[in-house]
Amino acid sequence: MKLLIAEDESIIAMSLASQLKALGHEVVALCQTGGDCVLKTAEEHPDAVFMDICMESERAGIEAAKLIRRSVGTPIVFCSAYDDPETRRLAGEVEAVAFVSKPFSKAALRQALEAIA
Amino acid sequence: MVELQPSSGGVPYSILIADLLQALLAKAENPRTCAELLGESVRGLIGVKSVYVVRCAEASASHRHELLSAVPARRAGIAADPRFLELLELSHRLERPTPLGGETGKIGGDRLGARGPSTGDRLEAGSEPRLEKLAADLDPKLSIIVPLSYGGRRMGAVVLLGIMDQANIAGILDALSSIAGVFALILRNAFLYENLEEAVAERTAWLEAERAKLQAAVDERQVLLREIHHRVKNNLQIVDSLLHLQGELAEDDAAAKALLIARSRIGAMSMVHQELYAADELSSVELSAYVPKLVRMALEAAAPSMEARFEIDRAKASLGAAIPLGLIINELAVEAAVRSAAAAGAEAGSLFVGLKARDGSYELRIAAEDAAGGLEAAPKLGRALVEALAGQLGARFAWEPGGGAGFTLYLSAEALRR
Repeated sequence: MKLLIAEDESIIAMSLASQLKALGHEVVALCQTGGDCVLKTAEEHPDAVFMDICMESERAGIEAAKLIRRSVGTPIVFCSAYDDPETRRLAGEVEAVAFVSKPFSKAALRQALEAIA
Repeated sequence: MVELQPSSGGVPYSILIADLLQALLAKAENPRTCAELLGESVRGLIGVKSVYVVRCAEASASHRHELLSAVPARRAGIAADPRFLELLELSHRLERPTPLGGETGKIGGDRLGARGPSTGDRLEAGSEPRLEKLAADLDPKLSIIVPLSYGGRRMGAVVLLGIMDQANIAGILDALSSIAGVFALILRNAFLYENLEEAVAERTAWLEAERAKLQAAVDERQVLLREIHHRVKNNLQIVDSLLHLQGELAEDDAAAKALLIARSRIGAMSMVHQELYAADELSSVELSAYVPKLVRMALEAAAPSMEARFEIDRAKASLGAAIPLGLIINELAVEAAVRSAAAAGAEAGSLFVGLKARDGSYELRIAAEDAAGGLEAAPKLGRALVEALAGQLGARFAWEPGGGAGFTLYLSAEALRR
Protein backbone atom coordinates (compact mmCIF):
# COMPACT_ATOMS: atom_id res chain seq x y z
CA MET A 1 0.00 0.00 0.00
CA LYS A 2 0.97 3.62 -0.51
CA LEU A 3 0.98 5.31 2.87
CA LEU A 4 1.37 8.90 4.01
CA ILE A 5 2.58 9.88 7.49
CA ALA A 6 1.64 13.10 9.32
CA GLU A 7 3.84 13.37 12.41
CA ASP A 8 5.57 16.45 13.83
CA GLU A 9 8.18 14.48 15.78
CA SER A 10 10.70 13.65 13.08
CA ILE A 11 12.28 10.73 14.95
CA ILE A 12 8.90 9.09 15.47
CA ALA A 13 8.07 9.74 11.79
CA MET A 14 11.34 8.12 10.66
CA SER A 15 10.85 5.09 12.86
CA LEU A 16 7.20 4.70 11.81
CA ALA A 17 8.15 4.96 8.14
CA SER A 18 10.88 2.38 8.62
CA GLN A 19 8.51 -0.04 10.37
CA LEU A 20 5.82 0.38 7.71
CA LYS A 21 8.40 -0.24 4.99
CA ALA A 22 9.61 -3.34 6.84
CA LEU A 23 6.03 -4.58 6.75
CA GLY A 24 6.10 -4.25 2.95
CA HIS A 25 4.50 -0.87 2.31
CA GLU A 26 5.55 2.31 0.53
CA VAL A 27 5.66 5.61 2.41
CA VAL A 28 4.98 8.34 -0.16
CA ALA A 29 5.39 11.40 2.07
CA LEU A 30 6.15 12.59 5.59
CA CYS A 31 4.26 15.71 6.71
CA GLN A 32 4.78 17.68 9.88
CA THR A 33 1.47 19.57 9.97
CA GLY A 34 -2.16 18.79 9.41
CA GLY A 35 -2.40 21.45 6.70
CA ASP A 36 0.53 19.99 4.76
CA CYS A 37 -0.97 16.55 5.14
CA VAL A 38 -4.25 17.66 3.50
CA LEU A 39 -2.35 19.08 0.50
CA LYS A 40 0.00 16.06 0.16
CA THR A 41 -2.90 13.62 0.44
CA ALA A 42 -4.65 15.37 -2.45
CA GLU A 43 -1.42 15.24 -4.50
CA GLU A 44 -0.21 11.73 -3.69
CA HIS A 45 -3.50 9.83 -3.37
CA PRO A 46 -2.17 7.40 -0.73
CA ASP A 47 -4.18 4.33 0.27
CA ALA A 48 -4.19 5.56 3.87
CA VAL A 49 -2.84 8.29 6.12
CA PHE A 50 -1.10 7.59 9.45
CA MET A 51 -2.06 10.74 11.31
CA ASP A 52 -0.72 12.15 14.56
CA ILE A 53 -3.36 14.22 16.41
CA CYS A 54 -1.44 16.91 18.29
CA MET A 55 0.71 18.76 15.73
CA GLU A 56 0.57 22.49 14.99
CA SER A 57 -2.48 22.60 17.24
CA GLU A 58 -3.85 20.26 19.87
CA ARG A 59 -6.28 18.64 17.45
CA ALA A 60 -4.71 19.46 14.09
CA GLY A 61 -4.81 15.79 13.10
CA ILE A 62 -8.56 15.56 13.73
CA GLU A 63 -9.19 18.72 11.67
CA ALA A 64 -6.97 17.51 8.83
CA ALA A 65 -8.70 14.12 8.90
CA LYS A 66 -12.11 15.79 8.61
CA LEU A 67 -11.00 17.72 5.52
CA ILE A 68 -9.44 14.64 3.95
CA ARG A 69 -12.50 12.49 4.63
CA ARG A 70 -14.80 15.12 3.13
CA SER A 71 -12.66 15.71 0.05
CA VAL A 72 -10.73 12.67 -1.16
CA GLY A 73 -12.08 10.24 1.46
CA THR A 74 -8.72 8.57 2.18
CA PRO A 75 -8.84 6.15 5.15
CA ILE A 76 -7.22 7.53 8.31
CA VAL A 77 -5.23 5.71 10.98
CA PHE A 78 -4.75 7.90 14.03
CA CYS A 79 -1.46 7.45 15.80
CA SER A 80 -1.46 9.36 19.06
CA ALA A 81 -0.32 9.41 22.66
CA TYR A 82 -3.68 11.08 23.42
CA ASP A 83 -5.59 7.87 23.92
CA ASP A 84 -8.59 8.80 26.05
CA PRO A 85 -12.33 8.30 25.51
CA GLU A 86 -12.87 11.87 24.22
CA THR A 87 -10.05 11.64 21.64
CA ARG A 88 -11.31 8.20 20.60
CA ARG A 89 -14.81 9.68 20.20
CA LEU A 90 -13.46 12.44 17.94
CA ALA A 91 -11.55 9.85 15.95
CA GLY A 92 -14.78 7.87 15.58
CA GLU A 93 -16.54 10.95 14.21
CA VAL A 94 -14.21 11.00 11.19
CA GLU A 95 -14.60 7.23 10.81
CA ALA A 96 -10.92 6.47 11.36
CA VAL A 97 -10.18 2.87 10.39
CA ALA A 98 -7.84 2.37 13.34
CA PHE A 99 -6.40 4.11 16.38
CA VAL A 100 -2.81 3.25 17.28
CA SER A 101 -1.77 4.35 20.73
CA LYS A 102 1.76 5.63 21.20
CA PRO A 103 4.19 4.15 21.92
CA PHE A 104 3.07 1.74 19.23
CA SER A 105 4.06 -1.89 18.81
CA LYS A 106 4.67 -3.75 15.61
CA ALA A 107 1.53 -5.79 16.35
CA ALA A 108 -0.57 -2.62 16.62
CA LEU A 109 0.77 -1.36 13.30
CA ARG A 110 0.05 -4.70 11.68
CA GLN A 111 -3.54 -4.63 12.99
CA ALA A 112 -4.05 -1.11 11.67
CA LEU A 113 -2.76 -2.12 8.23
CA GLU A 114 -5.14 -5.08 8.21
CA ALA A 115 -8.01 -2.71 9.05
CA ILE A 116 -7.16 -0.54 6.02
CA ALA A 117 -7.05 -3.51 3.68
CA MET B 1 -61.53 45.42 77.48
CA VAL B 2 -63.72 48.40 76.67
CA GLU B 3 -66.22 47.34 74.06
CA LEU B 4 -67.19 49.91 71.55
CA GLN B 5 -69.14 49.55 68.37
CA PRO B 6 -67.13 49.89 65.19
CA SER B 7 -68.06 52.82 63.06
CA SER B 8 -69.55 50.63 60.33
CA GLY B 9 -71.90 48.34 62.21
CA GLY B 10 -73.10 46.67 65.33
CA VAL B 11 -70.56 43.90 65.95
CA PRO B 12 -68.30 44.63 68.92
CA TYR B 13 -64.58 45.25 68.25
CA SER B 14 -63.64 42.34 70.48
CA ILE B 15 -65.37 39.85 68.17
CA LEU B 16 -63.95 41.45 65.04
CA ILE B 17 -60.49 41.54 66.61
CA ALA B 18 -60.76 37.87 67.57
CA ASP B 19 -61.64 37.04 63.94
CA LEU B 20 -58.77 39.19 62.73
CA LEU B 21 -56.30 37.51 65.07
CA GLN B 22 -57.44 34.12 63.83
CA ALA B 23 -57.04 35.23 60.22
CA LEU B 24 -53.58 36.65 61.00
CA LEU B 25 -52.46 33.43 62.63
CA ALA B 26 -53.64 31.50 59.59
CA LYS B 27 -51.28 33.54 57.43
CA ALA B 28 -48.48 33.63 59.98
CA GLU B 29 -45.95 31.86 57.74
CA ASN B 30 -45.76 34.90 55.45
CA PRO B 31 -45.19 38.17 57.31
CA ARG B 32 -45.82 40.31 54.23
CA THR B 33 -49.21 38.74 53.46
CA CYS B 34 -49.98 38.92 57.13
CA ALA B 35 -49.06 42.62 57.20
CA GLU B 36 -51.31 43.32 54.22
CA LEU B 37 -54.21 41.56 55.92
CA LEU B 38 -53.54 43.48 59.11
CA GLY B 39 -53.38 46.81 57.26
CA GLU B 40 -56.57 46.19 55.30
CA SER B 41 -58.50 44.89 58.31
CA VAL B 42 -57.41 47.68 60.62
CA ARG B 43 -58.27 50.29 58.00
CA GLY B 44 -61.73 48.80 57.48
CA LEU B 45 -62.35 48.20 61.14
CA ILE B 46 -61.24 51.49 62.53
CA GLY B 47 -61.86 53.93 59.74
CA VAL B 48 -58.48 55.41 58.94
CA LYS B 49 -57.06 57.02 55.84
CA SER B 50 -53.93 54.89 55.62
CA VAL B 51 -52.26 52.08 57.54
CA TYR B 52 -48.60 51.10 57.30
CA VAL B 53 -46.97 48.02 58.74
CA VAL B 54 -43.22 48.39 59.17
CA ARG B 55 -40.56 46.09 60.49
CA CYS B 56 -37.39 47.21 62.20
CA ALA B 57 -33.87 46.63 61.08
CA GLU B 58 -32.83 45.53 64.54
CA ALA B 59 -34.53 42.30 63.67
CA SER B 60 -34.16 42.10 59.90
CA ALA B 61 -30.63 43.54 59.74
CA SER B 62 -31.17 44.80 56.21
CA HIS B 63 -32.68 48.28 56.59
CA ARG B 64 -33.40 50.49 59.53
CA HIS B 65 -37.10 50.16 58.65
CA GLU B 66 -38.79 48.12 55.99
CA LEU B 67 -42.32 48.77 54.84
CA LEU B 68 -44.17 45.45 54.87
CA SER B 69 -47.48 46.80 53.70
CA ALA B 70 -49.22 50.08 52.85
CA VAL B 71 -53.00 50.39 52.67
CA PRO B 72 -53.98 51.84 50.33
CA ALA B 73 -51.11 50.49 48.27
CA ARG B 74 -50.75 53.74 46.33
CA ARG B 75 -49.42 55.33 49.51
CA ALA B 76 -46.42 52.96 49.61
CA GLY B 77 -44.23 55.85 48.46
CA ILE B 78 -44.30 57.12 52.03
CA ALA B 79 -41.48 54.69 52.78
CA ALA B 80 -39.14 57.21 51.12
CA ASP B 81 -40.52 60.23 52.97
CA PRO B 82 -37.89 61.46 55.47
CA ARG B 83 -40.66 62.61 57.84
CA PHE B 84 -42.13 59.15 57.94
CA LEU B 85 -38.69 57.63 58.55
CA GLU B 86 -37.97 60.07 61.34
CA LEU B 87 -41.38 59.32 62.84
CA LEU B 88 -40.48 55.65 62.89
CA GLU B 89 -37.09 56.37 64.47
CA LEU B 90 -38.62 58.44 67.24
CA SER B 91 -41.41 55.89 67.74
CA HIS B 92 -38.84 53.55 69.30
CA ARG B 93 -39.40 55.50 72.50
CA LEU B 94 -43.02 54.36 72.65
CA GLU B 95 -44.07 51.25 74.47
CA ARG B 96 -47.79 51.12 73.72
CA PRO B 97 -50.19 52.28 71.00
CA THR B 98 -49.92 56.05 71.07
CA PRO B 99 -52.16 58.70 69.49
CA LEU B 100 -50.35 61.65 67.93
CA GLY B 101 -51.22 64.94 66.27
CA GLY B 102 -54.80 65.51 65.32
CA GLU B 103 -56.98 68.56 65.31
CA THR B 104 -56.11 69.67 68.79
CA GLY B 105 -52.40 69.58 67.98
CA LYS B 106 -51.60 67.77 71.22
CA ILE B 107 -52.57 64.69 73.14
CA GLY B 108 -54.84 65.61 75.90
CA GLY B 109 -57.14 64.28 78.51
CA ASP B 110 -60.15 65.23 76.40
CA ARG B 111 -59.23 62.62 73.87
CA LEU B 112 -57.95 59.97 76.18
CA GLY B 113 -60.00 60.54 79.20
CA ALA B 114 -62.36 57.68 78.51
CA ARG B 115 -59.53 55.12 78.40
CA GLY B 116 -58.35 52.97 81.25
CA PRO B 117 -54.79 53.22 82.46
CA SER B 118 -53.60 50.22 80.45
CA THR B 119 -54.60 51.52 77.06
CA GLY B 120 -52.01 53.51 75.25
CA ASP B 121 -49.40 56.00 76.28
CA ARG B 122 -50.54 59.25 77.59
CA LEU B 123 -47.90 61.62 76.28
CA GLU B 124 -47.59 64.64 78.32
CA ALA B 125 -48.18 67.70 76.27
CA GLY B 126 -44.95 68.80 74.67
CA SER B 127 -42.95 65.79 75.76
CA GLU B 128 -42.70 64.48 72.19
CA PRO B 129 -43.23 67.65 70.19
CA ARG B 130 -41.23 66.35 67.26
CA LEU B 131 -43.31 63.17 67.01
CA GLU B 132 -46.46 65.23 67.26
CA LYS B 133 -45.29 67.57 64.51
CA LEU B 134 -44.20 64.80 62.18
CA ALA B 135 -47.54 63.02 62.59
CA ALA B 136 -49.43 66.25 61.97
CA ASP B 137 -47.31 66.98 58.88
CA LEU B 138 -48.03 63.55 57.46
CA ASP B 139 -51.74 63.86 58.16
CA PRO B 140 -53.57 66.71 59.87
CA LYS B 141 -56.02 64.30 61.50
CA LEU B 142 -55.22 62.13 64.52
CA SER B 143 -52.63 59.37 63.96
CA ILE B 144 -51.67 56.34 66.03
CA ILE B 145 -48.37 54.53 66.23
CA VAL B 146 -48.56 50.96 67.49
CA PRO B 147 -45.14 49.63 68.49
CA LEU B 148 -44.71 45.92 67.88
CA SER B 149 -42.43 44.37 70.50
CA TYR B 150 -41.80 40.89 71.67
CA GLY B 151 -39.73 39.98 74.71
CA GLY B 152 -38.52 43.56 75.02
CA ARG B 153 -37.31 43.55 71.44
CA ARG B 154 -38.74 45.92 68.92
CA MET B 155 -40.04 44.01 65.90
CA GLY B 156 -41.76 46.83 64.03
CA ALA B 157 -44.67 49.22 64.13
CA VAL B 158 -48.15 49.81 62.74
CA VAL B 159 -48.72 53.42 61.76
CA LEU B 160 -52.28 54.66 61.29
CA LEU B 161 -52.47 58.08 59.65
CA GLY B 162 -55.76 60.00 59.66
CA ILE B 163 -58.17 58.41 62.13
CA MET B 164 -61.67 59.29 60.97
CA ASP B 165 -63.60 58.41 64.15
CA GLN B 166 -61.85 60.08 67.06
CA ALA B 167 -64.76 59.49 69.38
CA ASN B 168 -63.92 55.81 69.71
CA ILE B 169 -60.22 56.39 70.40
CA ALA B 170 -60.10 54.42 73.67
CA GLY B 171 -61.69 51.35 72.08
CA ILE B 172 -59.43 51.71 69.08
CA LEU B 173 -56.31 51.79 71.25
CA ASP B 174 -57.54 48.76 73.18
CA ALA B 175 -58.15 46.84 69.98
CA LEU B 176 -54.73 47.79 68.63
CA SER B 177 -53.10 46.68 71.88
CA SER B 178 -54.61 43.21 71.50
CA ILE B 179 -53.48 42.94 67.91
CA ALA B 180 -50.00 44.31 68.56
CA GLY B 181 -48.88 41.47 70.83
CA VAL B 182 -50.02 38.74 68.44
CA PHE B 183 -48.63 40.49 65.39
CA ALA B 184 -45.29 41.06 67.12
CA LEU B 185 -45.12 37.33 67.78
CA ILE B 186 -45.96 36.58 64.15
CA LEU B 187 -43.24 38.99 63.01
CA ARG B 188 -40.73 37.50 65.43
CA ASN B 189 -41.40 33.97 64.14
CA ALA B 190 -41.22 35.16 60.58
CA PHE B 191 -37.89 36.88 61.32
CA LEU B 192 -36.55 33.78 62.95
CA TYR B 193 -37.70 31.67 60.04
CA GLU B 194 -36.37 34.12 57.48
CA ASN B 195 -33.09 34.50 59.32
CA LEU B 196 -32.80 30.75 59.49
CA GLU B 197 -33.64 30.41 55.82
CA GLU B 198 -31.18 33.19 55.03
CA ALA B 199 -28.49 31.51 57.10
CA VAL B 200 -29.18 28.15 55.45
CA ALA B 201 -29.20 29.78 52.00
CA GLU B 202 -25.93 31.59 52.74
CA ARG B 203 -24.35 28.43 54.06
CA THR B 204 -25.59 26.43 51.10
CA ALA B 205 -24.24 29.04 48.68
CA TRP B 206 -20.91 29.04 50.49
CA LEU B 207 -20.72 25.25 50.43
CA GLU B 208 -21.68 25.22 46.76
CA ALA B 209 -18.97 27.78 45.97
CA GLU B 210 -16.40 25.76 47.93
CA ARG B 211 -17.49 22.58 46.20
CA ALA B 212 -17.18 24.29 42.81
CA LYS B 213 -13.69 25.52 43.72
CA LEU B 214 -12.62 22.05 44.81
CA GLN B 215 -14.13 20.51 41.69
CA ALA B 216 -12.28 23.05 39.54
CA ALA B 217 -9.04 22.18 41.34
CA VAL B 218 -9.68 18.46 40.85
CA ASP B 219 -10.52 18.99 37.17
CA GLU B 220 -7.38 21.05 36.68
CA ARG B 221 -5.31 18.38 38.38
CA GLN B 222 -6.85 15.72 36.13
CA VAL B 223 -6.07 17.76 33.04
CA LEU B 224 -2.47 18.33 34.17
CA LEU B 225 -2.00 14.67 35.05
CA ARG B 226 -3.37 13.58 31.69
CA GLU B 227 -1.04 16.02 29.99
CA ILE B 228 1.92 14.66 31.95
CA HIS B 229 1.07 11.06 31.07
CA HIS B 230 0.62 12.12 27.45
CA ARG B 231 4.02 13.80 27.35
CA VAL B 232 5.70 10.85 29.04
CA LYS B 233 4.13 8.53 26.48
CA ASN B 234 5.23 10.75 23.62
CA ASN B 235 8.78 10.99 24.95
CA LEU B 236 8.92 7.24 25.47
CA GLN B 237 7.74 6.86 21.86
CA ILE B 238 10.69 9.00 20.77
CA VAL B 239 13.09 6.87 22.82
CA ASP B 240 11.54 3.73 21.36
CA SER B 241 11.82 5.17 17.85
CA LEU B 242 15.50 5.96 18.40
CA LEU B 243 16.17 2.43 19.63
CA HIS B 244 14.22 1.01 16.71
CA LEU B 245 16.19 3.06 14.21
CA GLN B 246 19.41 2.01 15.91
CA GLY B 247 18.27 -1.64 15.81
CA GLU B 248 17.94 -1.43 12.05
CA LEU B 249 21.64 -0.71 11.85
CA ALA B 250 22.64 -3.52 14.24
CA GLU B 251 25.23 -5.68 12.57
CA ASP B 252 24.74 -8.82 14.61
CA ASP B 253 21.98 -10.70 16.40
CA ALA B 254 23.35 -9.95 19.85
CA ALA B 255 23.14 -6.20 19.27
CA ALA B 256 19.67 -6.54 17.71
CA LYS B 257 18.49 -8.62 20.67
CA ALA B 258 19.90 -6.13 23.17
CA LEU B 259 18.02 -3.28 21.48
CA LEU B 260 14.86 -5.36 21.26
CA ILE B 261 14.98 -6.05 24.99
CA ALA B 262 15.68 -2.39 25.71
CA ARG B 263 12.64 -1.43 23.61
CA SER B 264 10.48 -3.94 25.47
CA ARG B 265 11.48 -2.29 28.76
CA ILE B 266 10.45 1.10 27.40
CA GLY B 267 7.21 -0.47 26.22
CA ALA B 268 6.47 -1.90 29.67
CA MET B 269 6.89 1.52 31.23
CA SER B 270 4.90 3.39 28.63
CA MET B 271 2.06 0.91 28.88
CA VAL B 272 1.69 1.80 32.57
CA HIS B 273 1.30 5.44 31.55
CA GLN B 274 -1.20 4.42 28.87
CA GLU B 275 -3.28 2.50 31.42
CA LEU B 276 -3.15 5.41 33.85
CA TYR B 277 -3.96 7.90 31.11
CA ALA B 278 -7.02 5.94 30.03
CA ALA B 279 -8.24 5.34 33.60
CA ASP B 280 -10.63 7.83 35.16
CA GLU B 281 -8.74 8.13 38.41
CA LEU B 282 -5.26 8.57 36.83
CA SER B 283 -3.63 7.09 39.89
CA SER B 284 -3.77 3.31 39.67
CA VAL B 285 -3.47 0.56 37.11
CA GLU B 286 -5.76 -2.48 37.01
CA LEU B 287 -3.31 -5.36 36.81
CA SER B 288 -5.82 -7.82 35.35
CA ALA B 289 -5.96 -5.52 32.30
CA TYR B 290 -2.35 -4.36 32.22
CA VAL B 291 -0.47 -7.64 32.70
CA PRO B 292 -1.99 -9.61 29.77
CA LYS B 293 -1.45 -6.65 27.41
CA LEU B 294 2.11 -6.30 28.59
CA VAL B 295 2.92 -9.98 28.20
CA ARG B 296 1.36 -10.16 24.75
CA MET B 297 3.38 -7.14 23.67
CA ALA B 298 6.60 -8.71 25.00
CA LEU B 299 5.92 -12.02 23.28
CA GLU B 300 4.87 -10.31 20.05
CA ALA B 301 8.24 -8.62 19.78
CA ALA B 302 10.39 -11.70 20.35
CA ALA B 303 8.30 -14.78 19.63
CA PRO B 304 4.91 -14.01 18.02
CA SER B 305 3.88 -17.66 17.90
CA MET B 306 4.41 -18.24 21.62
CA GLU B 307 1.18 -18.59 23.55
CA ALA B 308 0.35 -17.15 26.90
CA ARG B 309 -2.01 -18.39 29.59
CA PHE B 310 -3.29 -16.05 32.30
CA GLU B 311 -4.88 -16.54 35.69
CA ILE B 312 -4.97 -13.04 37.08
CA ASP B 313 -7.09 -11.79 39.96
CA ARG B 314 -8.27 -8.22 39.98
CA ALA B 315 -5.77 -5.94 41.74
CA LYS B 316 -4.88 -2.30 41.48
CA ALA B 317 -1.32 -1.01 41.54
CA SER B 318 -0.08 2.55 41.95
CA LEU B 319 2.24 4.13 39.37
CA GLY B 320 5.14 3.56 41.77
CA ALA B 321 4.39 -0.16 42.04
CA ALA B 322 3.17 -0.80 38.49
CA ILE B 323 6.44 0.31 36.83
CA PRO B 324 8.79 -2.09 38.70
CA LEU B 325 6.20 -4.87 38.56
CA GLY B 326 5.73 -4.32 34.82
CA LEU B 327 9.48 -4.35 34.26
CA ILE B 328 9.83 -7.65 36.17
CA ILE B 329 7.05 -9.30 34.17
CA ASN B 330 8.41 -7.89 30.92
CA GLU B 331 11.93 -9.11 31.70
CA LEU B 332 10.75 -12.65 32.36
CA ALA B 333 8.31 -12.74 29.43
CA VAL B 334 10.92 -11.49 26.96
CA GLU B 335 13.45 -13.96 28.31
CA ALA B 336 10.98 -16.81 27.86
CA ALA B 337 10.10 -15.59 24.37
CA VAL B 338 13.72 -15.22 23.30
CA ARG B 339 14.51 -18.70 24.56
CA SER B 340 11.46 -20.10 22.83
CA ALA B 341 12.42 -18.40 19.59
CA ALA B 342 16.00 -19.64 19.91
CA ALA B 343 14.85 -23.21 20.24
CA ALA B 344 14.65 -23.49 16.50
CA GLY B 345 12.71 -26.50 15.36
CA ALA B 346 11.08 -27.00 18.71
CA GLU B 347 7.39 -26.28 19.24
CA ALA B 348 6.55 -22.75 20.11
CA GLY B 349 6.29 -22.76 23.87
CA SER B 350 3.76 -21.23 26.12
CA LEU B 351 4.02 -18.95 29.10
CA PHE B 352 1.93 -19.01 32.24
CA VAL B 353 1.33 -15.77 34.14
CA GLY B 354 -0.71 -15.86 37.34
CA LEU B 355 -1.52 -13.30 40.00
CA LYS B 356 -3.37 -14.65 43.02
CA ALA B 357 -4.71 -12.66 45.92
CA ARG B 358 -4.03 -14.52 49.16
CA ASP B 359 -5.00 -13.09 52.56
CA GLY B 360 -4.06 -9.50 51.89
CA SER B 361 -1.00 -10.33 49.81
CA TYR B 362 -0.37 -11.29 46.21
CA GLU B 363 1.56 -14.05 44.55
CA LEU B 364 2.82 -13.46 41.03
CA ARG B 365 4.02 -16.55 39.20
CA ILE B 366 5.54 -16.64 35.76
CA ALA B 367 6.56 -19.96 34.31
CA ALA B 368 7.65 -21.22 30.92
CA GLU B 369 5.51 -24.28 30.25
CA ASP B 370 7.77 -26.05 27.82
CA ALA B 371 11.15 -27.73 27.68
CA ALA B 372 12.72 -24.95 25.66
CA GLY B 373 11.81 -22.27 28.11
CA GLY B 374 13.01 -21.87 31.62
CA LEU B 375 13.73 -18.66 33.36
CA GLU B 376 16.24 -19.69 35.93
CA ALA B 377 19.24 -18.90 33.82
CA ALA B 378 18.15 -15.47 32.75
CA PRO B 379 20.95 -13.27 31.43
CA LYS B 380 23.02 -11.50 33.96
CA LEU B 381 21.43 -8.05 33.59
CA GLY B 382 17.91 -9.42 33.29
CA ARG B 383 18.23 -11.45 36.45
CA ALA B 384 19.88 -8.58 38.32
CA LEU B 385 17.08 -6.24 37.24
CA VAL B 386 14.35 -8.66 38.35
CA GLU B 387 15.95 -9.15 41.76
CA ALA B 388 16.65 -5.46 42.27
CA LEU B 389 13.08 -4.50 41.30
CA ALA B 390 11.66 -7.19 43.62
CA GLY B 391 13.74 -5.65 46.40
CA GLN B 392 12.40 -2.20 45.45
CA LEU B 393 8.87 -3.57 45.88
CA GLY B 394 9.81 -5.08 49.26
CA ALA B 395 8.84 -8.47 47.87
CA ARG B 396 10.25 -11.94 48.45
CA PHE B 397 10.90 -14.07 45.37
CA ALA B 398 11.93 -17.56 44.35
CA TRP B 399 13.43 -18.99 41.17
CA GLU B 400 11.97 -22.41 40.47
CA PRO B 401 14.33 -25.04 39.14
CA GLY B 402 13.22 -27.76 36.77
CA GLY B 403 11.62 -28.22 33.35
CA GLY B 404 8.74 -25.82 33.94
CA ALA B 405 11.12 -23.36 35.45
CA GLY B 406 9.53 -20.24 36.70
CA PHE B 407 9.67 -17.37 39.06
CA THR B 408 7.38 -16.46 41.95
CA LEU B 409 7.09 -13.07 43.59
CA TYR B 410 5.38 -12.62 46.96
CA LEU B 411 3.96 -9.11 47.29
CA SER B 412 2.16 -7.41 50.14
CA ALA B 413 -1.01 -5.47 49.32
CA GLU B 414 0.72 -2.39 50.70
CA ALA B 415 3.54 -2.80 48.19
CA LEU B 416 1.02 -2.40 45.36
CA ARG B 417 -0.22 0.88 46.81
CA ARG B 418 3.18 2.51 47.28
